[in-house]
Amino acid sequence: MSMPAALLESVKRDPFKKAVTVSLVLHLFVIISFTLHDMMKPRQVVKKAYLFDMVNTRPQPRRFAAPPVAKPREVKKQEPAKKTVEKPKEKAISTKKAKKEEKQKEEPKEQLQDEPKETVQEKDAPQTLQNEMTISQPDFPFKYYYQQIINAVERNWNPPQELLGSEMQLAVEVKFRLLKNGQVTDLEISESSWNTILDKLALRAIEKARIPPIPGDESELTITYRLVLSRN
Amino acid sequence: MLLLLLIAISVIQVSSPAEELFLESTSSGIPKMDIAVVDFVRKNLGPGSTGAAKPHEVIVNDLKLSGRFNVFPMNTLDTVTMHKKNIAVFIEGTIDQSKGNTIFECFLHDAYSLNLITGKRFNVKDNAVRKAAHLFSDEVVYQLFGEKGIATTKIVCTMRGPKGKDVCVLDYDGYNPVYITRNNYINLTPAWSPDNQAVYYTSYRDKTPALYKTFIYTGQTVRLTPNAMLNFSPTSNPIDSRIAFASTVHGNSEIYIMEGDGTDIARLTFQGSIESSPCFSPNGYEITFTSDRTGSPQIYIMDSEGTNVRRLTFEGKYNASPSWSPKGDKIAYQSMVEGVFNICTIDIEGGAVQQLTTKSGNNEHPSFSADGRLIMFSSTRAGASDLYIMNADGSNQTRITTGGGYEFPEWSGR
Repeated sequence: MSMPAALLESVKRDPFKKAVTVSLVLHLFVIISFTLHDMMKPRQVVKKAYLFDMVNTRPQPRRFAAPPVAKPREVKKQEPAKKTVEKPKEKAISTKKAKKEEKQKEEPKEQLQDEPKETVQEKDAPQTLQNEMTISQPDFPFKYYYQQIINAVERNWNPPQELLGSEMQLAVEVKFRLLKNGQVTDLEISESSWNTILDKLALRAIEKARIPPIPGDESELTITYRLVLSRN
Repeated sequence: MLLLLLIAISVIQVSSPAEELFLESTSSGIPKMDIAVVDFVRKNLGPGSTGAAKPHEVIVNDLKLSGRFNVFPMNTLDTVTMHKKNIAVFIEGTIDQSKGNTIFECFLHDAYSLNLITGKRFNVKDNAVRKAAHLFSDEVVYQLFGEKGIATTKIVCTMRGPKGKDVCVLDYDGYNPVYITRNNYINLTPAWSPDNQAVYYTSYRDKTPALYKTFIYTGQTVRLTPNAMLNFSPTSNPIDSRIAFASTVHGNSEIYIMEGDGTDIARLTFQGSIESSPCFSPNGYEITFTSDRTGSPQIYIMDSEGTNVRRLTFEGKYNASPSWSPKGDKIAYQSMVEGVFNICTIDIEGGAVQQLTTKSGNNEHPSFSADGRLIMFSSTRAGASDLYIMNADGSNQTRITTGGGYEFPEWSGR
C-alpha cells in the first residue's frame, strides 16, 4: 500500500506530474466511455452478408414465387390423362415407398379417381411443397433410375437459407432433355422463382449433376424438375 | 495509473467486434445404392473344367470396394427378400467352363420391374476371368452412376525381394502381381506415366541411384538421369507428361523437372533446405511437395515453373508425401501424430484438415483413385507393411494384400 501512497504524494508535489495525471484520467475516461458505448450497441447479425435482395433484378414482388403458385398448377394437371397417371408414381419414389408404386402400377384406373382427393389435401396444406421430378414418358419402367437422377441433382442443391428473405418457400421449376448417355440438353427454367440467384443455382444443380445413361430402349427423356428452398 | 491504462487497453482489444462468418455445407456425398448380387448359375460343367472361377465374388468385392454400394450377396434369385430390403437393382448371371475356357454372362436388372438394364457376355481364358469381372463391375458403376468405375485400374508398388526391393504392378484389389524389376538391387518410389503404359522409379541397378522408365507391356527400360547422385520420387505431369523429381545434384535435395525422355532438366527450387516428393495437380499447372525450409517438413504448393511457393500445412510437426486428388479439391498426405504416421487430407485452400486413419502403426504414402473416391495407402497396423484401401472420408478401410513388404503404392489412372 505504501507504493501508491508515495506515488500520490509525489504527484501532489510536482505540477507537471499533476497535469499528466489529469490528462491520463481524462483520456481513460474517453476511451472507456467509447468502449462501453461500442459494447452496449446491439451487434449486427452476420446474416447481413447473405441477404441477396439487392441483387434481385426483377421488379415483380415475390408473392408469385410462394406456394400459392402451386395451386393453379395442380388444377392444370388434372386435365391430361397421361400426366395424372404418372404423377403419383414420382411422389412415391421421392418418398422412397417402392411398394406403393407397384400397387399403383397394377391399378392405374383407381389412381385416376384418387387423384382429385390428393390435390384437395395439398390445397389444405400448401406449405408442404417438395422437390419433385416428373418424367414425360409415363410408362418408363426403371424405378431405380428416378432415384439416381434425384440423387445426382439434389447432391448439388444446397442453396443458402438467406435467399428466402421473408418468404417461407421458394420454388423453381426447370425443364430439360436427357440424352441416352445421361447428358443434359435444352435446359431452361419453365417456372421462375423470381429470384435470379435461386434460378441460377437451380440451373447449375442440373448442369453439374452426373446423371447415369438411360437404361432400356428409351433414347431420350424430357424431365421437369421442381426444386424447392424452404425454411428449416 | 499504469495499471488502469493497461486494463483500458486490454478492454479495448477484447471489445473489438469480431465478424463471425459461418459457411456450412450439408451435402453428404452420393447416397449408397442397395444392390444384390446373385450367385451365378453354373451350367454344363464340361470335361476339363475346374469349376474354380467365381466371377460373382469378384464383382461383389469390386462393388464393396467402390464405396458406392451396399452389397447384398444372395445364393438364389429371391425377389421377395429384395423387395423387403428395398433393393433397387440386382446382378445375376450364368457361367460355363470347359477346357480352360470360361464363358459367362452377367446381367444387371431393375429389381422392381425386372427389366434388363445392361448385360455382357464374356468368353475368356480361365486366368482372365477376374479381369472380365472387373470390366463388368465398371460397366455397372457406369450404368448406375454415369461415371466410369476404377475396377480395372492397377497399382504400382515396391515389394520386398530376397535381397532388395522390386517394383511390381498389381490389380487394384491386390491380385495378379507382375514384377517390373527382378534384380537384386533396391528399387524405390515408383510412379505411373500418364498413359499408364510405363512406370518411373528409382533404381540402384547401375550402382548409383538413378531414375528409370520401364514400359510395363514390353519390358523396355530406359535410364533417364545421367548423374551419379541420388534421384528419387518421380511424378509425371498428367497433361504434357513431363517428370518432376527430387535430386541431390546440387548438394541438398531439390525439385527438378525434365521431359519424359530425360532431356531438358530444369531446377525448380533454390532453398538451402530439403525439398522432396513432388506431385502434380490434375491440371498440371501446380506441384505440391514436401519441404523443411521452416525447420520441420511441411507441405507446400508451387506453380509448375517453381514460382509462387506457398505453405499449405500448419498443423503437425512432420507432414510428407502429398498426393493431389484427381478432382483437384484435396491433398492427402501423411502426418506424424503421437509418434506414428497417419493419413490426413486438407483442402487446397489450406483449411479443413481431416485425419483419416487412427489405428496403430504407420500409415503412409496415400494415393487417390482415378475417380477421387478412394485412397490407397500402406500401413503397418498388422505388423508388416501391407496395402489398404479406404474411402476418401476414411471409412471402409480394407486390407488388400497379405504377406507384408508392400510399400510406396501409386494408383494408376483409368
